[in-house]
Amino acid sequence: MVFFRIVATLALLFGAFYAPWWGTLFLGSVLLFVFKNYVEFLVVAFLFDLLYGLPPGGESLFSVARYSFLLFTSALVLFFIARELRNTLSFYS
Amino acid sequence: MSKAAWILAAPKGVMLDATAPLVADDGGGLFGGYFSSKKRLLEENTALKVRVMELEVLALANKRLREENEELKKEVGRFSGVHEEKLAAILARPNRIPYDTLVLDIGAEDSVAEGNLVLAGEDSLLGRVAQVFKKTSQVILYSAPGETLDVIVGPDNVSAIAEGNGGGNSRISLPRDIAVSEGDLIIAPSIDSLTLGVVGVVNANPADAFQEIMFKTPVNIQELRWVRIRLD
Repeated sequence: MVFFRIVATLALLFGAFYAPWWGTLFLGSVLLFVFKNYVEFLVVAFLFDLLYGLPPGGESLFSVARYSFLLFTSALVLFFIARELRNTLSFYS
Repeated sequence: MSKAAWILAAPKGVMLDATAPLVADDGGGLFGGYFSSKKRLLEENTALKVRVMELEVLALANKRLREENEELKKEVGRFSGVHEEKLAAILARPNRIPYDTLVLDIGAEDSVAEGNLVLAGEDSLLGRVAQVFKKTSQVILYSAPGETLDVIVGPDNVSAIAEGNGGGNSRISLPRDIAVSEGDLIIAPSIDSLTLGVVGVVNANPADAFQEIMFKTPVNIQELRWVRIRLD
């Protein structure tokens, strides 16, 4: 399982560089349900925002108009939703 | 018409009537595009060739006027000159990233500096260099939320402030009495009149003292492969 987790994270990282942002978000959301406490998605999303986000300029880093952590915030919300859902859902294989 | 001929003609008429909407030659039928007659395609081809010729003539006239404009500016001592520009390839753009930014393949090694203007096409102003790294640089588009720029709107040269709205869109708020119509140019207040956009929508509510003007860049950022960075 650890091996698959590493491979999935590498795929997610590859997606962050080469796929559209919504592709990364979608893949990350799926992986949140596949692996328990998949914090790697948060790290990749944070890296993505650091790379491509709006530079802070003269304004505050956290100003609403120039908020640069859209993907990370989305990933964080999805992380908690997935964690709650995983506790209530049963997976059969 | 004999009885036999009527018997043969009746089903033919029914079939023709039934299939007419599908094979309509005016392009409106279900398969209209596929069954267009050769004559119609030839006519369309000729019309398009004429249109291309007209546009080529217009482009030449435009070029001549531009040169004449530069010469006149030179005469009065305000020659905008040839700027030092560098071509840059776009590595990442909106659609792949959720922000109105571009990542370019040149940086400090190629003399790119923060604040350099980024242009595309003939004279379309897209944004400014916001961060410079050794081999790459990040450009913030003027359509990014929070970005503001002084602009001149329309044929009456009305000064205004354009505010980025995200997703390639910007907006301007002006008093409702100022006449602005769709298609008016929005330019940056510089000697070489860089184009920032074309007025797309004018929202004028009779109950509001202000009108809202929405515009987009004249070039499609999704289709761009290269941009020019003005180094001076």
